[in-house]
Amino acid sequence: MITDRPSIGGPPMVKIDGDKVRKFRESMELTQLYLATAVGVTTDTISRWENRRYPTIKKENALKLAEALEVSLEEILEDHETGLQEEKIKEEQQETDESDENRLPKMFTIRPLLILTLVCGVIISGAFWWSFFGHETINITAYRFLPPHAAPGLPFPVIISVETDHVGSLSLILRESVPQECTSIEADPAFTAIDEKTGDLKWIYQTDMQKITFCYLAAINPGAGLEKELQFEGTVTVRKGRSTTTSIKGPNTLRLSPLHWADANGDKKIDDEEILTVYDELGKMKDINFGIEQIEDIWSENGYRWDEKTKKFVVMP
Amino acid sequence: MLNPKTSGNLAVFVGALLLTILPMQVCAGDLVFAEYISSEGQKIVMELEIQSPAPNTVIVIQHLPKGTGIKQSDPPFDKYNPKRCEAKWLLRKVKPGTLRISMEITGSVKAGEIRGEVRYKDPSTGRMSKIHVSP
Repeated sequence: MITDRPSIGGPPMVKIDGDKVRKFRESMELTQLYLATAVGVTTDTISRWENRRYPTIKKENALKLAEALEVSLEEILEDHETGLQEEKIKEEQQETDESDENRLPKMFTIRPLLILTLVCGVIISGAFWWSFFGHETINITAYRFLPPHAAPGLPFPVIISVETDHVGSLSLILRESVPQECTSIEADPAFTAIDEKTGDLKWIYQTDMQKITFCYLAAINPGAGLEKELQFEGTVTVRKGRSTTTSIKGPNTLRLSPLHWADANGDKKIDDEEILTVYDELGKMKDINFGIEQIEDIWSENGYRWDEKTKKFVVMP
Repeated sequence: MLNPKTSGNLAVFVGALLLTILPMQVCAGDLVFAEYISSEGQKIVMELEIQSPAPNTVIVIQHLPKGTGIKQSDPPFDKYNPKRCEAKWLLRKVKPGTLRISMEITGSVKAGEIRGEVRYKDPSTGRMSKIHVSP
């Protein structure tokens, strides 16, 4: 059940079905920790949502929850009919309460006091929360290292370097939208999810470091036409009190051409500066095979050429 | 004229200032120092002193007189261009400390006949640095 109308002075709220959430999560073999990290809440909160029948939560959180479960928002909401029945029961209960109030004048005097106390409690808690967490702004920067060009069918690396001024533990969600012509192969750290339809990549990562490097290897479909330009874009979201989202800066265009990705100036050789860049940027990525042997061969020999038949680079002796 | 107490304080202040500035100069300068330990005859030895933070990878280039080759080297060179009489070493996963490159050449050379070069990228700025080494 969606209530786009915000609760008094608050954000829009929705009623979710705890059972459905649990079933979706279990069918996807996800942990409560995963959901908690994806939504930006604690595992206790996820447990509470699952165990209560129709908990009312922020619509913003419900959307994130649905996204993490890879379902639409409607699929995790309380059924409309069940909701109506619930409403009816509530209304009936309210009527009974009201009639009780008419009969019991004491309740009439106690209730406003109770409500006033609750409102005061909420305001004080809110002010307390705001004073501790509300002012915290996390500065975050993300930079993408993308080769200027790559040949169809051959893998190339993409590095995303994320830096933050926050000291201590932090959860972040990195989203990278890759072109349709591109297929992701492997990543370090490993992908948390790959969207089957769009091929978009997602990492959910918890860290206490201020600099994190994400690297993935991708390849352009061999059938893609040369000289085409492909666009990459992505965002990083961090959560600590409030969420901060920033777009990934740096190069975002890759041209399809018969040039090696490490040959930055396109002179069909890999010079000293280019091989040093490869080692500096990718040296720490031990688990990613980005073809360093061939890069070293090209560097130590007299360059390379593109073989149209085999669709591979040939080292020039 | 300064009294002895004031001049003593001044000396301490200047000393402390120098101690603060001198290490800063080292950091701001080259991260790699290189010199020839042996540069004559058939054996050439170059020593590299790597500062912290160490560059991830270092390239060492040795230029030799025309017609001179390398019989063997430790570590083995990665690239040799006979036209230019130039050998290259790609030193990977470099750590702070001392590195030594020694080579045995075909023929004998005099000190002024050889020269070397060291190339690396500063890990904090990503800027390429080139150091020329002469005997």
